[in-house]
Amino acid sequence: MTKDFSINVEHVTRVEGHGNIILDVKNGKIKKVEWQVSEAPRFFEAMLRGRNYDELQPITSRICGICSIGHSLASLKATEDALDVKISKQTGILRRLAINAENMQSHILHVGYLALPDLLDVGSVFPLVGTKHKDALLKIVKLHRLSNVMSDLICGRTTHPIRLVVGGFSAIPSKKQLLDLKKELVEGLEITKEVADVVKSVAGNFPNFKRETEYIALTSNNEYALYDGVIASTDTGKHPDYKNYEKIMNEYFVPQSTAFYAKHARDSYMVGALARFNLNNKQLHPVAKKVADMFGLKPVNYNPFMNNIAQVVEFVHNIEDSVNWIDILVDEGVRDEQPNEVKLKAGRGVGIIEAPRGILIHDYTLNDKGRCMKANCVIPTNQNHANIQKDMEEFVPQIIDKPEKEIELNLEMLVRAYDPCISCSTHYLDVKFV
Amino acid sequence: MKKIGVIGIGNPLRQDDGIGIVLLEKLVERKDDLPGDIEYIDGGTGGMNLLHLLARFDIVFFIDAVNFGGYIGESKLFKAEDVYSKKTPMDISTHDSDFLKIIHLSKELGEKPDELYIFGIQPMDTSHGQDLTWELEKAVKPLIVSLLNEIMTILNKSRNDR
Repeated sequence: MTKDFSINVEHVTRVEGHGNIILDVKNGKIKKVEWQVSEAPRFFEAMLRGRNYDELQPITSRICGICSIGHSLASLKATEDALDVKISKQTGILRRLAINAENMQSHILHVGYLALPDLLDVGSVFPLVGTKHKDALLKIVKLHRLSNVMSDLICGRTTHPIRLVVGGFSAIPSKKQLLDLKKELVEGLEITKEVADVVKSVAGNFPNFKRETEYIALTSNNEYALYDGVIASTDTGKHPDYKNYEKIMNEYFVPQSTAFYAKHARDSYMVGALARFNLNNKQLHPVAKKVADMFGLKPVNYNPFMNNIAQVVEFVHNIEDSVNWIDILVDEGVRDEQPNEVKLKAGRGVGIIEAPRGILIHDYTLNDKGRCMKANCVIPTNQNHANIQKDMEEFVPQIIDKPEKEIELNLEMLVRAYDPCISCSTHYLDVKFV
Repeated sequence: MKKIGVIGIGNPLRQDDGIGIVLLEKLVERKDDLPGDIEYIDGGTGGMNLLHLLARFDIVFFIDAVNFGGYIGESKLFKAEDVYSKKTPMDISTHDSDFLKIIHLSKELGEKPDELYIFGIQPMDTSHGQDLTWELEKAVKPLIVSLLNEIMTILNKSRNDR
């Protein structure tokens, strides 16, 4: 084969932020295949320096308009770890409801609005309204709305939560509000099953591509880990020493990216819904397990495109999980409690949670006045950039004989499968002038 | 009781593009001059969440920078029907095409408010930068008067029609 062509997708659409796909083929040989991150760095860690402990959550929430709850929770956990603040059982439950709400918001937005158009062969979600898929679109919109309603109730706002504070919550939903939400969630579970059927009917359009890699996520003995757990890898097992996370998330620079790349046991690893499924699938709730079976999703699944399906499975799990936690809250009695008291002291704290796109770490050093002296945030999408690059290097030779447009679409679908939040990932850059 | 929403749209980091938010904030200061059952919302730069907002109301007023070829600071009241019935409706919004597509989607999904108006303001410069341009800034006071009048006229008409 003597094919000459180049593909330059600048920027990939239907992802958060700006990234480019570059492919250069001469005489049928690949000269260059590159996943480039071109977005400007945002310097959030520098902004935190000198700030008071109670300002860190509202500032870091603004890192992302999609995972603002995830950043808030990682931030609060890091602050509470540094100041040795304990939280009540009720706060732990409400935070789990908050993280479920965000996972649902983010996953339905990605699968429904951003990924599904690829499978249905349309350019965006808008044309679907004029097709036989209008009913499916209406259901997706309903589920997105349900996730927003849940976030509004628990966090006080759809995006950028205001009720999540150090030591607890600044306002607590009432028993009636929680029971109304439960009713909507139970109805939402049925709608989700119908949406899963629609996704199933076109899931065959995802490329059948596999590349063995390492998966990293939180894991817990008690639950499908999102809010709490220890770092775990499909290659190396559990790593309970959470304050030494830098030994796992080895971040490094590459010339084509303004964001860090990361590696651990291999030259890349993947985080996100598929990583969590691969590590923790046994702890999924029953309906979520059934949906996983319906798609034939089994651990360890090495097809990155199946991250979309893992997100559908997690959406179902989040609904079931939320209904369970609401039952517990209501049974034990919803208390209008105040956040736990904070006593200032110097120290370092690390907060780790699972954001929709994967494991997220905030690490703060506070002085005895409660001011932040040093901060580090390890963002999920950073940890996926190297894996996207390695996938592309292996995927391109398998599809090189396809028409250029199809190669381009396949590569865009690969990037979208990771649901990258590039704006989040370009948070830090060392600039050296010579 | 009809549910009424006034939604400001715009990006204050793009100079005159922020006029929708500026006018919304000024309108809230004058809310005693308007009926008490109106909900005022900063809709930011739109996105799918607008779709959910629209579903909550019977009457909606959007306030937004619109390139309709008028003089700087000129305002024009568009009905949603006028906007999406044009052949190329999407080229007038300063927020790519999303905002008008969302209105269209809302209609197709059967969730569109019965009455939907866009109070459009002709901007001068919507490139990056904080604060309105001086040329638009000096039109803010008369714009608030026009906006109050437009809202009252439509609400009175809507109430008389019932």
